Amino acid sequence: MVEVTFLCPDGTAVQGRGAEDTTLMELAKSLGIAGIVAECGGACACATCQVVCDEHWFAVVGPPNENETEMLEMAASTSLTSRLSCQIRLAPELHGLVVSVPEEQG
Amino acid sequence: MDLRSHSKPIEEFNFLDPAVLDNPFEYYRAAQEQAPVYLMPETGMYLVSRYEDLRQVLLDTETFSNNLDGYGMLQGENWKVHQGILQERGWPDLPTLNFTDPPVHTRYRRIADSIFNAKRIAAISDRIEELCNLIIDRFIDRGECEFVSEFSFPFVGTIISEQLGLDSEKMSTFKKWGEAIMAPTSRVMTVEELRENAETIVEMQHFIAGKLEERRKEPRNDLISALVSSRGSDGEELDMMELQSFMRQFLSGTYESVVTMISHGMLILLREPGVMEQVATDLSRVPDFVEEALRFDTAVPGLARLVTRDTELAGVHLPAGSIVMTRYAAANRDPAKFDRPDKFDIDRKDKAHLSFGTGPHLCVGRLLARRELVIAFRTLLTRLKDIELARPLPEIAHVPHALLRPMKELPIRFAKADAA
Ligand code: HEM
Ligand code: FES
Repeated sequence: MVEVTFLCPDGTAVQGRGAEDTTLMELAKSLGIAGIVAECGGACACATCQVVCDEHWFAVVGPPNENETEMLEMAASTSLTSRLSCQIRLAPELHGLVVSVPEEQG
Repeated sequence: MDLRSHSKPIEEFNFLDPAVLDNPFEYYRAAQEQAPVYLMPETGMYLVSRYEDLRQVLLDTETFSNNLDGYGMLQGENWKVHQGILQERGWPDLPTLNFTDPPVHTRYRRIADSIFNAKRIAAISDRIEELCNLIIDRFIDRGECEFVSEFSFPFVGTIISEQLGLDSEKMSTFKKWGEAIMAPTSRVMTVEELRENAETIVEMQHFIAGKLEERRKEPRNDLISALVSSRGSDGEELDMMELQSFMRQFLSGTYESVVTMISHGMLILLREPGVMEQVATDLSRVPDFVEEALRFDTAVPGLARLVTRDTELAGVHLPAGSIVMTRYAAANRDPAKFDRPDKFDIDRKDKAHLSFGTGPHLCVGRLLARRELVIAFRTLLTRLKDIELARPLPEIAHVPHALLRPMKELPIRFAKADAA
């Protein structure tokens, strides 16, 4: 299991564990993280599952893939270290990952 | 059998009965309880009515394909007449967007997203609000209006015709085109009707071709200019056949669905106790109202998928070649997903309705639709008060249609709320 912490816009931190090879979005949904809408269910078609990493974790998680980059470019607001959580597969090197959930999605 | 189930046997309903189409919620419940994947004798399609089953269908594009002739499905062999006329004098149907699967779909989808994305919708919001006020100006002094034809339609029609570069004075032509696109999906037509219908589509195609060329030469700040100049990730622009296919989907999707959704929103304000007051006294609740209205009575109750290989869904065997009806409207009332699903509740925490679908085909126009709906109700509730039904609705309030839900009329009376 891979342990992850979500920093929510209301200031709370929610911790959870997800199985390897499931996605970060699925973990967020199972924890009921309010800011992760994930309208397209992981098809990389909605950009409502954004998370923001700090620089350290962004280097570990890696940059967005090509499809994801296109979706992020069209979103209302993003930062340089934004990722779509449905495109991040949980793996051992992500154990301890910390991401923040933006105030608004879309 | 579930002891809590009180629904009438599913065989006693006829899906195509105008009364069932008008008020289908009892039918949906019966299906969910007795036959969640139900082969409808009237249509030959399998109705999928439960939330989790529907999500599974929408996410599994390999088994449940969009590669079907969505417009001609009901017309059988006669559809060739339509195809022939387009082939000869217009542009033949080419499957894009909603009639393709990934990866072909993905290229089209990115182009569509680049036109209807959050940034663009934000950029046209002020104009949407301005138009909304202009439409209300036309009838507000009368203290009454027929809401569908005097508000919902001209509001949506003006926005989309402006954005797609169609002349807003030609709105009745535009309405005729939208109806021609959708007519074959609503009932079996005669060869003569199909021929006439195809002629209307050809007329529309030539008009669109002219507009597209105009914008290619002189781009403006509208969605159609964005469309002609957009390129897929392969760097290629869309050719005329692809552009025609896009425009056809935009014109059908945008016109009926948002019009109906705005009318349904008003109907809900009139019918559901306490809601009008709750929203009018706190306009910050309008977005919650809109989401709940989408869940409660969506304008696109169902579309279709083609089963590509023998499979099983909720214990029912589906042979390859079957057609599944994706009943978003039923899933939205699934008690296994939504607590007290038949109650209209803007405080509901779970807002994950399926009115825009999910998966790769999630509605491209959802951000535009939501923006239009929020602006419409914020503006209406700012400028009008004491809104009530002016006379009873027809006994069957909707035009019978298997996939859409247009309202026949919605006559309202009101007082002016603003000082102006
Ligand atoms: C409240 C209004 C609307 C509703 C309820 C609605 C609903 C839907 C639904 C259920 C789907 C199909 C998802 C699937 O295949 O499972 C869809 C797809 C689509 N919608 Fe909408 N829609 C609305 C407004 C709009 C608007 C304003 C546009 C603007 C052009 C639009 C354009 C499209 C297109 C192009 C698709 C096909 C997307 C694809 O296959 O990738 N819709 N819509
Ligand atoms: S869930 Fe839609 S893009 Fe991630």
